[in-house]
Amino acid sequence: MTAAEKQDAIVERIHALGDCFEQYSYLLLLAGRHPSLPEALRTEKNIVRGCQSLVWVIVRREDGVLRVQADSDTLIIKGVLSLLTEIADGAPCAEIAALPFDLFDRLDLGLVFESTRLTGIRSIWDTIRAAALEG
Amino acid sequence: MKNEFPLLREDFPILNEPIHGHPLVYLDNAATTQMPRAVARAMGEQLFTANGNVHRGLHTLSLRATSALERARETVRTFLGAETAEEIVFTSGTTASVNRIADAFAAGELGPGDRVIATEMEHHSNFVPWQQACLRSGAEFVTAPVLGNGELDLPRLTALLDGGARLLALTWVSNVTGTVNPVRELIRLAHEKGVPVFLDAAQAMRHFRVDVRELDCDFLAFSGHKLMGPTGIGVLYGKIDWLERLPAVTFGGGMVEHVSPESSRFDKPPLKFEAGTPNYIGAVGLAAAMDYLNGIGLDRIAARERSLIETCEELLRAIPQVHILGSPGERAGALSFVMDGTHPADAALLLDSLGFAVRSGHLCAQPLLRRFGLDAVVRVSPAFYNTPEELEALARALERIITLGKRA
Repeated sequence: MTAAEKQDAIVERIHALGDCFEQYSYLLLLAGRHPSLPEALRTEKNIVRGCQSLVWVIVRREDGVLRVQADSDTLIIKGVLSLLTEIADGAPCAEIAALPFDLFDRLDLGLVFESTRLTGIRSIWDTIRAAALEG
Repeated sequence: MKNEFPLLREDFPILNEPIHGHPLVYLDNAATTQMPRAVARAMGEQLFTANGNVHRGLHTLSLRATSALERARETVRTFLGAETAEEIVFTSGTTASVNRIADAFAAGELGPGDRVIATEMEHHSNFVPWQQACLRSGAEFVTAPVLGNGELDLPRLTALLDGGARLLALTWVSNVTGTVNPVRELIRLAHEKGVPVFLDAAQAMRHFRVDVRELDCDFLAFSGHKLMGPTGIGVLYGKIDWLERLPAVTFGGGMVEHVSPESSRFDKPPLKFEAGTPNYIGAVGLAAAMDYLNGIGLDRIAARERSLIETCEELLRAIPQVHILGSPGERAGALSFVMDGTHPADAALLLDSLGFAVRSGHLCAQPLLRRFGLDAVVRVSPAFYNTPEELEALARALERIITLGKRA
């Protein structure tokens, strides 16, 4: 599946859920399954600024493919990170660089997508995309 | 008397606003309260019939606006029990009120060897301005510690009042734990040592009948939007002797008697501290809010809110995964808690998705949260228009969230 197809699939999956509470519950479920970063990687250097919660993101390039690890101290945001990882981890850098990232414009997840939080989440995506554009 | 508090909800149209398909349960009143129709109406009338810049204008609208502003000042004076209207300065809110006096102290009262004391439970707005005033003037800034039960350590605070203390910055009610401080006793103690007291009443205004003469505080500050008024208007009360003695710190129109290229002579208080066009529409709104509260009865509001916060504490204590901060002898208006297995931000988001408005985060009181070894909490703060049923619903929602946390 391409990154764009993965994004479409996520939108479809979340739309199929019920109300806002159900959608948050789903993010909590994803957070529970998402691997935590070891303490040693939860460094100041890996913190993404502009988020209300603590968010750590590590992006590497391996033979033209992105490797994304991400974690947060709050579960709902960790759930969101799990979605971003699903799209970007293992994807060819060129695909991520070219992806029109509009996941949050297409979802209606209440507060997660309101102004300040949206800015924070966008800065996480920007971090991932910047790594894809490098080189 | 029959309980008509549920009927009062009709005065607040926003309480009927559905949130994510659920009825709104608004429990963030320590941050801002909702506005009754009467306040919005008063501000609308002012805007549509008497809007003109205040003071010095000779046209009718300016005169109407000026008298509305001065009537509002008189309403505030009565509400606070102040001796004269000259002691009532309009500001944009509590933060501006504190900054005004902290700046004046830095400019005219503080220097090396002096000490300003703020308690560890102050909101940042009654903490940072004093800290900065000390940094600028070379005075020492010290904090008075809080005990594990959320109360002030009174013996340690008393000891700090000795030797060089020039001001005590004290909150009446903590915006985190809801702790009610023994302000009368502390003001008396401070005065015995010759230390003036700046009382932050932002969280106290709806919970107590305020009488500044009886309190004997030197300064008192609060914001309009925490007592059903609009945002952008607040009050600085200062004893007239202090307001006359302290220097003006913001300058411009509306506060000068005479200006020449060489020097300026400033108005008397309160205008001396009100440079620029004051928020007279906001002042009208604040006065209308005070009239509204007086109409219900301040003692009845206080009793209602006391009963709601007690019910809230009882309900939350019954949930084993919920841990409430502190157990002060008297709590007013707000309580904060943490939950096993659920981050405060997650709890607040999940509650919002069910229609509950609560606050999460450091609540602009990082020193106090750090005292409890925390960096974020969830805060619940009911007002008189809330109901015990809403608090029951909150407890059930928290239980639902806890179950969810376990599943994740």
